[in-house]
This record gives sequence, C-alpha cells and structure tokens, in this order.
Amino acid sequence: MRAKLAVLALLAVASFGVYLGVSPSRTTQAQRISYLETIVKCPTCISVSTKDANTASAFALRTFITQMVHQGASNSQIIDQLLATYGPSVLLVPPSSSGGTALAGAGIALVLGIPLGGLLYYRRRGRKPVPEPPEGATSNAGGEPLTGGANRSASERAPGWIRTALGSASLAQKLVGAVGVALILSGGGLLAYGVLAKPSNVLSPSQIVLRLKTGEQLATVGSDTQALQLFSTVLAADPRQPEALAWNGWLLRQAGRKDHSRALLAAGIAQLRQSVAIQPAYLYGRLFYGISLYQDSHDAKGAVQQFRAYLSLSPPKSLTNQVKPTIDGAFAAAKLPAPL
Amino acid sequence: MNALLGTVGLVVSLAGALAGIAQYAWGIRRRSGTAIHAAGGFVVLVAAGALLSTFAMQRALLTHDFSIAYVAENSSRETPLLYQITGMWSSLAGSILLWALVLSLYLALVLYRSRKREADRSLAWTMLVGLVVAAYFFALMLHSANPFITLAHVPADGQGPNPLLQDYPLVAFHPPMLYLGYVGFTVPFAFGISSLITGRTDQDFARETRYWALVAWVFLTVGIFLGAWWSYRVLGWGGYWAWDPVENSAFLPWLCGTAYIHSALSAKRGGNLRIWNISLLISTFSLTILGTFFTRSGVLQSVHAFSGSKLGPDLIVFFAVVTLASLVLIAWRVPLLRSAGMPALLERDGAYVLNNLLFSAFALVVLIGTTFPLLAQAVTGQVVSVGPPFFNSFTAPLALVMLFGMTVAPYLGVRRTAGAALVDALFVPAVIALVVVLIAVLAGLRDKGVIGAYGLAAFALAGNGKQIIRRLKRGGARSLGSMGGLVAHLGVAIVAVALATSTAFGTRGEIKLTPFGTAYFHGHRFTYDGVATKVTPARTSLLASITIDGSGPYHPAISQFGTNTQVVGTPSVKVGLTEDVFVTLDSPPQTAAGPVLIGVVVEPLVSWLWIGGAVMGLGGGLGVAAALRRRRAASRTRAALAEPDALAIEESA
Amino acid sequence: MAVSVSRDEVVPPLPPKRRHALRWVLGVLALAVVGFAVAAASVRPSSPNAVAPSPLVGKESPALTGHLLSGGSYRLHPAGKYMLVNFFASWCTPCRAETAAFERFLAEAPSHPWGSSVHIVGVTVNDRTSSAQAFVQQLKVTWPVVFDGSGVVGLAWGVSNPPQTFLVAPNGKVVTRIVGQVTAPGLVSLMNLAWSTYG
Repeated sequence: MRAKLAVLALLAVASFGVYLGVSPSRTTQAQRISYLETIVKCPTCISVSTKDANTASAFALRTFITQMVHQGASNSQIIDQLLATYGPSVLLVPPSSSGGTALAGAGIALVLGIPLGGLLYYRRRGRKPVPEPPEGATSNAGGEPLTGGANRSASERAPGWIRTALGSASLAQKLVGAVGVALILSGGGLLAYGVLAKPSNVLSPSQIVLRLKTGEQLATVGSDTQALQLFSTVLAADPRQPEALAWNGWLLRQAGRKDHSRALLAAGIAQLRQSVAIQPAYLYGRLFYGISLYQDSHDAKGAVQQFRAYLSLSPPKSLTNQVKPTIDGAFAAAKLPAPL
Repeated sequence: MNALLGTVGLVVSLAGALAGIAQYAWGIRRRSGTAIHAAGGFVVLVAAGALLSTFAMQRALLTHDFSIAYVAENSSRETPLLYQITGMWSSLAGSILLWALVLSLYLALVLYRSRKREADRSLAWTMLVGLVVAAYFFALMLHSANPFITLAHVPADGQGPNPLLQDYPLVAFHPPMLYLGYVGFTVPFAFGISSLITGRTDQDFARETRYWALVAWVFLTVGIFLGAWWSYRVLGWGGYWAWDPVENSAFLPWLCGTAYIHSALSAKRGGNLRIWNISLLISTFSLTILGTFFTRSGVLQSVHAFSGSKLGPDLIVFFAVVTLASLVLIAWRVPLLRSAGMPALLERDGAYVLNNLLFSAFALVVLIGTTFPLLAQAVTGQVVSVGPPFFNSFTAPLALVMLFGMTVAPYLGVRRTAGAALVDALFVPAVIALVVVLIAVLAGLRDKGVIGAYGLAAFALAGNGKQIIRRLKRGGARSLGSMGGLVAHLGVAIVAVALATSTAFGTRGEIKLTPFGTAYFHGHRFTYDGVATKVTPARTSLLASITIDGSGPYHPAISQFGTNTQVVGTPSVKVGLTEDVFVTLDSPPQTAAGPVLIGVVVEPLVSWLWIGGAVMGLGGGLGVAAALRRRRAASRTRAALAEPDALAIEESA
Repeated sequence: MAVSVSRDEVVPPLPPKRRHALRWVLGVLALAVVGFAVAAASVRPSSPNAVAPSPLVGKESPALTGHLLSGGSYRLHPAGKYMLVNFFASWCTPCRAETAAFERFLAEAPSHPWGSSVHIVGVTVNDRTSSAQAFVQQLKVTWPVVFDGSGVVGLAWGVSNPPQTFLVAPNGKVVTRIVGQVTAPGLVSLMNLAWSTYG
C-alpha cells in the first residue's frame, strides 16, 4: 500500500516537475492571436468563432487581430475597439459591461459551489443517527389496493354511458364502445375546432387604414421590423386583407432573401400570391408579386403579366422609375420590348 | 383529402386523449381495475389517430399534394424520395407531429408492457400524466402549429426542404432518433409523477421507471452523436459541436437523464436519493419542454433554427405549469421521500450523491450559458452571445472530475470501502494514467485541460476495462448484460480523448490550387484535377476534384437546390481512423483553367468520436437487454422480485 | 477489495414531524421558474432579419481616411455637412442596385431644404482595386470612393457585410446605420427626419 502510493506520488511529481520545467512563462504572440480569434465571434455567423469560420468577415477580423497584435496592442485594447464598433455580441463571452462578470461569477459559483457545498452538507448530515422504521412503512408496493374487475359496486354508480362501456360486456364490446365514444367526441371536437378557429381580435376599418399607412411609411424608410409588426396585427384581424398581405409578403420575402431563409421566402411569396388573387387591382400587390416572380421564381412571362397589370393601374412616376430596371429586365428576359 | 384525413387523425387523438384522461381519473376515483383496463382503449385510439395523421402527411408528401401548405414549403417535385419522406420533420409543424406520434406510440408500448399486470392506480396515474402531455401536443397542433393547413391557390410545385436538410442522408436518422430519446423521457416522468401521487416507493416500480429512462437515454445519446456527425458533414466549418442553443437543448435533458440512470441504481436510497431521483426525472422532462421553447420560439439565435414561430408563449406556459405542479407534488411528498441515512463518500450511494451533484452543476452551467442572452435581453435589452469559450472553461473541470469519478465508483461497495483496498484495486490504472500524463508532458503538451483529459481518460479506460475483465472472468459471457454501465464508461473515455485531440490539434487553412497543381498542407498532398458541373433535377452542383495523398478523388462542392437561389457548400471528408481531412470549395475558379481556393481542416481522431458514441449506445443497449432479461426471469419466478437489491448492484454505475 | 453484494435494509422515510428545509428550497425554485418564465415570455422573438443597432449610433464617427480610387487621399471631415458613408463591394449585387438609388437621391435632393448640405462617400470593402475601378466606371459613380484594401476602415465602422450605409450629422455624430440596400425615398425620409432633429 505505502509502496504503491509512493510510486504514484513519484510519477505525479515527475510529471509536474517536467511541466513546470519546460513550460514557457510568457505567452507568445501566436498564442494571443489564437486566443483572441477564439473569443471573437464571426460577425456574420451564429455561434462560430472567427477562428473556425471561413466567411469574408471572419477573414477580415483575423487580419485585423493579427495586425493589432503585431503592432503591440494589448488584448483589452483590441477587444475594446471591437466592442465599440460591433457591440457586445461580437464576443463569445459577454464583456463585463454586459453582465459578463455576473455570468462568470454564476459559473464559478455553480462549478465550485454545488459539488463542494453538497458534499459538506452531506458530511454534516451524515453523522446523525437513523431512526428505526415503523412496521410496514418501508415500502408501499402496489399503491393502495384496488377493487378488481369482479367488484361491480364502483361501476354501478357510474354514469350511464360509462356503465355501458364497462358493465358486464365483453372486452370486444368495450373496445367498440370506447371507439364509438371517441368518434362522437371527435365529431364534437371538429365542430368546436371549426368554431374556435374563427378570428378573435377585431380591428375597426379606420384602425386598419391607419396601421396600413404607418406600416407603408415604416417600410419605405427601412424599419422593416416595426412595419412587419403592424402588418401582422392587421393580418391577425383580417387574414385576407390584400394590402397588408402584399406588404407583409414583400417584407418577409426581402427578409428571406437577405437571410437565405427558404421558409421566410416561401411564406412571403405565398402572401404576395394571395394578395394578387384577392385584390387584382392593388398596385403594390401586382408590382411586388411581379418582382418576386422575376427574381425568385425566374418566371419572366408571369412577371411581365404582373408588370403589365401594374402599369395599367397608372402608378406614380417616381415609383415606376425606381423599379424600371427590374421591369425592363423582366421584359427583356421574356424577349419582349421594354414598355417604358 | 390528405388534409382532412390528417386533421381527423389529430382530432381523434386529442379527443381520445381527453376521454382517456377522464376515464383514468374516473377509474382512479372509483378504484375500479376494470375501468382502468378499459381506458387503455383510448390510449390505442390516440396512437391510431397519430398514425393516421402521419400516414396522411407522408401520403401528401409522397404524392406532391401541394394544397397542404406544409408540403408546399418543405417538398417539391424534384426532391429525391428520401428527402420527401424526411420532409415530415423539416420544419416546425411536422416535427410536432413526429413528437406526438412518438409519444403516443410510447404510451401504447407502456400499456402493452403492463398488459399482464394487475391494473392499479399507479399505472392509471402514469397513463393519465402521459395522456395529458399528449393532449397538450395534439392541441398545440390544432391551435398554433397545424401541419395540415391548406392553401387556397395550389402551387404547381413546392419550395423543397431547406437545402441543408437535403444534403446528407443522416437527416433521415438523426431527428427520429433524437425524438425517440427526447420524447421518451416523458414516460419515466409520468412514472415519477405517478409514484409521487400514489406514494409508491417500491423497487419494482422504480426499476420499471429506470427501464424506460434507459431506453430513452440510448436513443437520445445516439441521436445527439448523429446530430454532431450531421453538423460535421454538412455545415462546412469542420466542427461538430458549437454549444449552440439547439445543441444544448438536447444536451441538457441528456445530462439530467444520465444523472438519473445512475442515481436510480442506488441500493439503500439514503442521502435523499429518492428526492434526487424524482427531481432529476422532472428536470429532464421540463428541460425537454424548455429546449423546445429555445429552439422553436425564435428567442435565441441558432445555426439550426429555421425561423421563429408563434409557439413561444404556449411552450413557456406549459413549461411553467409542469415544473410548478411537479414542485408542489414533491413538497407535498417530502416526508415520504426523505431519509436520514447519509452515505459515506467511499460507498456506492456516496458516489451516486457525488454523481448527482456533478451532473446538476454541469447542467446548470449549460443552462445559465444558454439562457444568459435571453435574460440579458430581458433585463438590459442588449444583444450578447455566449459561446464555446464560456462553456468549455466552466464544464471542462467538471468533466474531468466526472472522468475520475466514473473510474473509482465501479470499485465501491455497497458498504463503505476502505481507502487502502481502492488504492490496491486501482493501482495499475493509476500508474497507466500517470505514465500517459508524463509522456504527454515530455512530448511538449502544455494545455492543462488536454493533459488532464488524456490522463483521466487513460485512467477511465484502464479502470473500467479492468473491472469488465474481472467480471467476465467471474461470470463468463453471461455477465456481459450486467456491465452496460462499464461499457458506456469506456465510450465516454474514448469520446473524451477524441474531443480533446480534435480540439487541441485540429488545424485549418486555405490552399490555392491551379488545375493539376499540387500543394501541401500539414503533411498532406493535395492535387486539383479541375471542376465539373453535375445537374440533377434536385440540385445543380459545381464539384471540384481533389486528390488527397494519392487517394480520392474527393469532391467538395457548391450546390444549389431546385429553384432555391441559396447556394450551400458541401464539404468532402477523407475519413481515417487517426485523422480526417476535411475539404471545402471556398472559392470556385473564375475560368476553367483558373485557380481554386480550397479550405482544409485536418482533424485528428474525429472518427473516434462516433466510435465512442456507438460504444456508449452499446453500453446503454446492454443495460436495456439486461433489464428485459431480468423481467422475463422475474415473471417466471416471482420470488426473484423479493431480491431487488442484489440485481441492482450487479449493474454498475 | 471485492464488491460486496448484500441486501441492505431500505432506509425508511422519516416521521413527518421533522422540519422540512427542503420545502423552502422548492419554494425558491418555484419562484425562480416563474421569474424565468416571465422573463422568457417578455422577450420578443428576434425578427429573423433584425440587426442589433450599431453601437456607433449617437457617438462621434470613427476616422475615415484612405486612398481614393481616383487617386489622392481622403479624410472624412463632416463639419457643417451631412455625410452618407456607403460601404459596398463590386461583387455585391444589391450594392449595384444601390448606386442607382443614390443617383436618384442626389437628383431629388436640391428640392429639399437640406439639399445642398448632404454629401456621399463610398468605401469599397473586401475588394480588388481593378474590380472596384471597373464597378465605378461602369456605373458612373460621381462621388468620391475610398479603397479600403486592408479592411481597416470597415472594421473601425463595424461593417461585416456590405452594403451598409451610415449617416453622419454635421456635428460629427453618427445618426443611424442602414443595413442592406437603401432606396431613394428611404434616404429622403431619413434626411427629412434628421433635418428636423439636427437642423
């Protein structure tokens, strides 16, 4: 036993000694760069560090970090500069100004506190004597005893339909009964579902108009998020409101294109399509759907059809000028002369 | 037609679940075994409804029924057959359908397994809790995540699934496996709640609970590893685990579930292990709901989340209700659960207490890190990210202590074990561990975490290996069933080595190659033989042809799927037992003779991660098999039930 | 050292008169769960295209110095002028469309009170000199364009992917950042808003 412990201690001391003896006392520049790359998030990614990502922005940040380190900047200088321009979300560990200290404190408290505190607690409690169990309290094997199938007194007091299902009928009959009950309930459920699924929140027509106007303004100045919120309240009240469908669809579609989100794109296009179907004479619906057909579905013919409808609705000049390149492109792709 | 069929299935299931709840409640109130037996019919009905809905969904996917919005968004005519089928779990509503299907099948299985037993209140309560959860998910589908919403204007073709979900066939296995595990933990939770309500604390019931937890654990473990593998092969940055909210959402229940399947083996149930067990079961289930909230509400940013949904409030309310109700039940039953006997550290139950403390600390660190961005946003309105540096630095010490504990614990007896005996038994493993540390230090390794991981993994491999050999010698091949835990520990040690090595020694870089040119990176020779375009109805790919060290060619590609404008990079991997070489097409050539930019990641021992995961799954499988065999033996000789402890102890921690 | 396999007595539950500190723990846990649920429910799902506001907004604008594509050097000096700083790249498709939007904006500007006091400067990021020059010539860009070959300017402004446009007020403070393609009416509305605040 002693000899064995001695061997283990010797090996441990030897490893530790070698570790201390060979270990460099100062961190090299390469180590610092590597550390910084690990804690700085690639700005265009989620959860991936600049070290691991192979995007252009990660590449730029890696270059920046390397340059700064070689120029002699300290870690905190580099981090501060990144925080000032990208905000706290650029670090994969929140900076102390954004609750990083609290998070680290919580982490330390959990890692040390739970195991050590728990063990201390158990040591303290462990010295207390164990009282003798009262007879029969050891375990409760079957729960409380039940009356078996032979005893009918319970089912006889049951409501009629359950009594039919349970009474003296055979198992097959019981099953048929149960299925019947469920089917009846299902019918009721379907009916209830149909009734409940009706829209519940109601907006007055003037409220709708106001929200649409504000939403359009917000969308034109680029406040897409607020605009989407407004349009979705209108759609919650009236899911077939064509103007809200057109704008909401357009914003979703834009967001989908920007984020490469297929789901958003699909949702947006579906709403655009619906808007045009409900209100064929809505200027923006035609325009947005046309652009989407051309750019998303590469359906130049369909787009041309929408653009023609749009132009026939006598749109304002400034709007048409803005989208002229797209319209011209669609007509050219459909091998038709430009309409403007 | 499909939409109608599917909706009918959902409504039948919901109605069946509600009727089943009513009937079980009635049976419990009347103490009528017959009524409880008959209520089983409703469980079958719920499963039948879920199967009908699934059938309708699959039929719609396979027959391109684009009148259903979900099909139009997640499938297309060009989508290959495999990905048409997997379209069911490509996005939110279909995943909830899969969830409900798995849950109702589990409930039917529980019912089947208990068919020969007397119907009692505890079974009734178990089924009732299970049906409440099922009813919630069916109601969720009918309310806010309906997979059978129809489109007024049927499109000619659908959008097809997210490109990342039709890139690699693992997507057919990873989500179902994960769901089998994730949802499976509802069953032991229902057992736990039932034991709280009825006050059942006997071994038989506890063992049944642990059996279901073990089944779910095996699926969840395999599911998580398949998920890591999928990320590695698809996401294109050479990583497999990023501590992303979606990954953590699967990992958190795994941590609590793992703690439970250890703690449930405790022999004496001193040290309040009953309270531990029930709390762990409840945490596991609550965390699956919370995880679903994280991944489906859009409140956290994730590489895996597709888009936010309206489910957030529904899920968080359900989470709060479940957790609060469970806490109230525990508080009510504290007198029954509590025990005064405190184990010593060097005995089996002491090890279980330490196990619970370590796993709880681990889970809480992960939980804090995952929710911190959410809390920070709620409190300060600031957007922050919490990523690998935080998780690694706080979980690594815990993981190292766990590696140590899982080697020592199998050598602990039910009664206090003498320290000298432990040193005796673990001397050889300890020497091996320290020699490994010495070699690592001499070889110039300086990272304390990696050195620790190597030393302790060697300790765990030697210690658990020695115990396996000892038991094999004593009991022959027949004892194999009793060592599921030891085998799983070997898997954990293998995973630890693979994780430490691939993280510490992985290198990445980019090489520029002209056609038929050669470049070297990290000792590997890369030859570029040109690019080719491959067009199939489903996708258009630009494939580069790269020979790595004379083998290959490997084809890193950039692909565009169907009508989707988004292009995704598809990596190609030269898999090896010692080292993977992972290549991506970072920048395609401008002209046929132009240079190409190839991203290279050289990661050692990554394959061992999957091997380790498989070994862990195998260990769990051995445990399940042993439980099944024991049950059969028990039903043959009723007397065996009177000796529960002897059997529980054979099964290692 | 052998694993002793023995049947131990099951430790019984305690008589219920003990005080249950555990119930307090459970109560605290319950409060934590409620608090967390409320906090979680109060956070709006981040819109998929939401971009965190730039930390530069409201602060002194970062330095912008560099070589102009047309030759010579440039230094941002907003005194008395509104500056629209547009980060773009020749390989970015929306940037191409954006140029036309700026042209229309400049054409419309003189009809507004702020018309004479707004200037545009372009900065190309992650770009090659030759392609940037081709871009500028092809699209007939009339405003000065700074070539940010090293990416230092882009980093100082926190630009990760073009196009992004900053509006700097005459007092040198950053008014806002627009991520993604700008539109002429959007810029006009923005200038109206800024004019009414900063004058």
